[in-house]
Amino acid sequence: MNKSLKYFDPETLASIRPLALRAKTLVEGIVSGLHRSPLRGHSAEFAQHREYMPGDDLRQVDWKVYARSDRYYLKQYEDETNLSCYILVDQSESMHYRGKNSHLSKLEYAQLIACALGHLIVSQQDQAGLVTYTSRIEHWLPASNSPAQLDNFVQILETPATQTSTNLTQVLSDTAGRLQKPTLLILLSDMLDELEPVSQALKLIAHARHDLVLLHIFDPDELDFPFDHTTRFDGLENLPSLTTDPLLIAGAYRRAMKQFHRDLERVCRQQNSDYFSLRTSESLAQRLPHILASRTRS
Amino acid sequence: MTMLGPTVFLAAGFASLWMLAWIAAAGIPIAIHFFLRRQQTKVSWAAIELLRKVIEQESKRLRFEQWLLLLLRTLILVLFGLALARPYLEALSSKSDPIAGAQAKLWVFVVDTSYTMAYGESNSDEADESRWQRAIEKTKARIEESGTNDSFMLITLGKPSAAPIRKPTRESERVVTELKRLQLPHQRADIPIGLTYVSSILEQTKQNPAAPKKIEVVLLSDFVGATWQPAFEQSENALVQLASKYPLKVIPLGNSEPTNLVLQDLRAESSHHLLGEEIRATATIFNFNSRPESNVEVSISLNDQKVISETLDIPAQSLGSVSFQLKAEDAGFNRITASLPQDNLTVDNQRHLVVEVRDNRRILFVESKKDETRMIRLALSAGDLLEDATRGDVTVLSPIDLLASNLTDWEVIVCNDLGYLDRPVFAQLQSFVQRGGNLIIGLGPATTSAMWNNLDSETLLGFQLVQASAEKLWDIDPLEYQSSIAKPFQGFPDSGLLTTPIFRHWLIQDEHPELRRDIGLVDSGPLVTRFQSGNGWVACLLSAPSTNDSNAKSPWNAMATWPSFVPLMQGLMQSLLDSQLEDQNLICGDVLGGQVSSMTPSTAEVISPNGESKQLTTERLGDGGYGWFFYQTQTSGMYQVKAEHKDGDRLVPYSINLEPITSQLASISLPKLPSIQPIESNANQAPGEPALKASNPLIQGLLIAVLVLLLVESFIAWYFGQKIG
Repeated sequence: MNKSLKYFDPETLASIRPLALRAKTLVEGIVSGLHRSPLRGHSAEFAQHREYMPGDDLRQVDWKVYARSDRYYLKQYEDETNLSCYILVDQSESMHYRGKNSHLSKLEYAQLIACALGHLIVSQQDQAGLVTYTSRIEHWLPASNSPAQLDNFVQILETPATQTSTNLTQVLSDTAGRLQKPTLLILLSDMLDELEPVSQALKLIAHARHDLVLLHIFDPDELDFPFDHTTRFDGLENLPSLTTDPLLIAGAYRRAMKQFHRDLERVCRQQNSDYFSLRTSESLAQRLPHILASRTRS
Repeated sequence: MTMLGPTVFLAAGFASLWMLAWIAAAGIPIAIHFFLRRQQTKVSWAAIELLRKVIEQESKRLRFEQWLLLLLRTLILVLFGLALARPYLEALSSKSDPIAGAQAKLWVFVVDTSYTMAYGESNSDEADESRWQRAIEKTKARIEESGTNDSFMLITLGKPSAAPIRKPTRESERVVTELKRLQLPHQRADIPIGLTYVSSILEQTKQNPAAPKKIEVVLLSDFVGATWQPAFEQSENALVQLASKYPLKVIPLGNSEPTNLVLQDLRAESSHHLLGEEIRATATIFNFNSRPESNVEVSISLNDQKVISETLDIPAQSLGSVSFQLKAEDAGFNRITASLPQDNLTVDNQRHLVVEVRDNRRILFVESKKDETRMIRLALSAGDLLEDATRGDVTVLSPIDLLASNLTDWEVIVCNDLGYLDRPVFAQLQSFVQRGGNLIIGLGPATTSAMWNNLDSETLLGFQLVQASAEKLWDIDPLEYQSSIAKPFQGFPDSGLLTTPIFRHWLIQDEHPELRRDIGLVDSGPLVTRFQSGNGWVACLLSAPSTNDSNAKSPWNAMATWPSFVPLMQGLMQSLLDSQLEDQNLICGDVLGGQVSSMTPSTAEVISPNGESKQLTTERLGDGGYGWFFYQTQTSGMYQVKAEHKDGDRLVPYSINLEPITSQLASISLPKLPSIQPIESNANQAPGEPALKASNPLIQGLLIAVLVLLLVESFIAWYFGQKIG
């Protein structure tokens, strides 16, 4: 592993304030550890050559050109540039949660991933779009491969949401309605919603032949439940509070949370969607390449 | 149908009731539970819906687990508190029930409370520890050896004996507490009566089915001769009887060679003196040590002021005495105290005496015929008693004049052979005596038995008249010179008492048990009697001195012409005056009492030697007047009583001394009885005696339950924790 990866753990990234710089730092860390780009198009018709960039797939290098010019160029095909990806970021109030052992909230973590992925996609000349949502779509940034797209990403991600609650079913339904052709959708959410509507929404996406990758983001405390005194849990998204002795229900809660994760993963698999769970304490420089590599293999 | 078993529980309780307070500790888990609920932290939580579902699903299980743990923890503390309180159950038949009361034993501690128990032993092992303190320590040691379900009684041998813990109790601490609280009386125990009392109490206890069947008596005493020797045979019999019924263990606390100097007696020649007259008194000391004591200092105090200090040498096991003279500066009651230096037994190093000093004698002569009392006046004027009699400055009244007189001005009234006395005059004389006055009555030829007997003479004189004796020369019987009136004649045959010519005298009947015979007549009744009526005294001369009147019938005696007459009359007068102060010089255990001038209920105040004050309410007496009584005179010293008097409230001193017995502290040998086991120490415990470590099965059961519950609680808490984890 590259030694520089240690600088891309959430703690370090949290100390970098501007989101763009934070995302750029992350991307550089990710790219330096990859040998080929995970997000690519497929086509038999050659379109153009492009200079090799670190992270590009070595299999796409035109070795003939290299032999002639001693420089690395990639062969690009017609369809490859047609990759269109929309990144959906959940901005509901539950995403603002940050556990006592975390340096980033779930939203900050999701923003970072969205930015990093947008940067990666655009830098590959592919089109990246951004959707932020709560109970409805808050912002819709159409997909583009313009270099200015990253600035738009940052601007939209840093815009506060107008709603607090979530309605994923509605949002995915609206999204599917807006997209004309099959698109890669990357959903960044804590998915704290009823499983059945989520399943219906994913079914709708799959039916419209969109490719969905769910990056399920959660705080370590949400899984570990590390409370040991009687605690009043104040509900986010306008939900009522609860008082309980965490020691007595911690086990049951952990089991329920793990079961929720397993069920969510199962639902995703059923709809041919990719599911990745991410703890906000995890280093993205380690986790994102792993996720991207998984996508590459698939 | 369920039948009850043969065991019927009759008594249940706790030996250490106050330990039940520990049950309050059961509230601790509950308090912690509620405290922690109040000490909640607040957290904003995203997965609140999931949490709600979990709580809803788990609530029943959680509630059950919480209550189960709370119940177990509370139960552990409650059972532990119960075990600490040492519960007991008594079965009707301990044989039928192996659990309850099978091992229970009743320990009866019988402790001698004679004043000699205050003797401080000085030896190498226990420096200056009194026998009483040793008794407490030994009792404590025996209690510590007892079983946890044993019960205890405490009886004190005293005068009278008492049972501070009469009902068997399992609160062993009470025995020691009672002993520590008890103040040793300055009396010696009445052992035979005390041991009989112990037997009777134990018989009553045995009648109680709830009382343990096994009884063991532990007797703690110094077995000193002063207490045990006077009625040794009776004491021995009582001890044997007790030992034949119950196992008796004896813990001797005495020392074989005690050292002690005793101020045995303090006596004044007379208890009444005129102002300016010297008070002559003697203090007697006994040296009980085996070596002679030299330069023993005897201090004499008059009204709390040390006035004389004399030293004397006393041979071993012998008496020594110091005679001294004091002069009182004020009329009234004077307090004399003699003291020895403090030794191992301080209570017998002091004695007290009350004497009265008056500025003059106030004697009234009552005559129905002129010069009836002349011979008596002459006899009294021969000494200090009536200085002015020869000058005729004496008051002589007729019986009728008595009715108009205030008799409270007089100390003594002398009547000689009154021919007639009517009822009002008799009542006046009776009232005079009841209130503390003294009366001398001569009964002679002019006296009629019918008149006196009709006047209820026995209430005043202490007897009824029968008839005049036959005329002959009666021989005087000095009654072994026991009386203070006859005593001066002892050893002086020329004084003429025995030859005093008595020709006739009055025969009496229905004598009051407390009538004193001072001088008698051989083969007949008394010649001189004294009787206390109320607060005063009446002396009777049953053959009135003749007036030497030539017109009189044949005289009944030639007493007035005899040399014994003057000392006899003066002795009679002095004895009456001294008798009056007998009530103010008493011994421990005597009842203090007196009459007040008020004819309505009032109060009197008694100040004890330790300064404690007690208010008494006067009680109605037989004659219609009111008097007070004080019974708590177990401590020697000077008591002072403030009561209503005709001259206003006045403080009257009362001296209370140790019983004038020898403070012989050497211990007697214990009776050689097989059933009596002397115990010197725990090491000398009689062989074969079971070690009294039998513990209460109830407590054992409770403690086992606590242990089991602790294990169960730990396991359940662990199991629940596993489920949580």
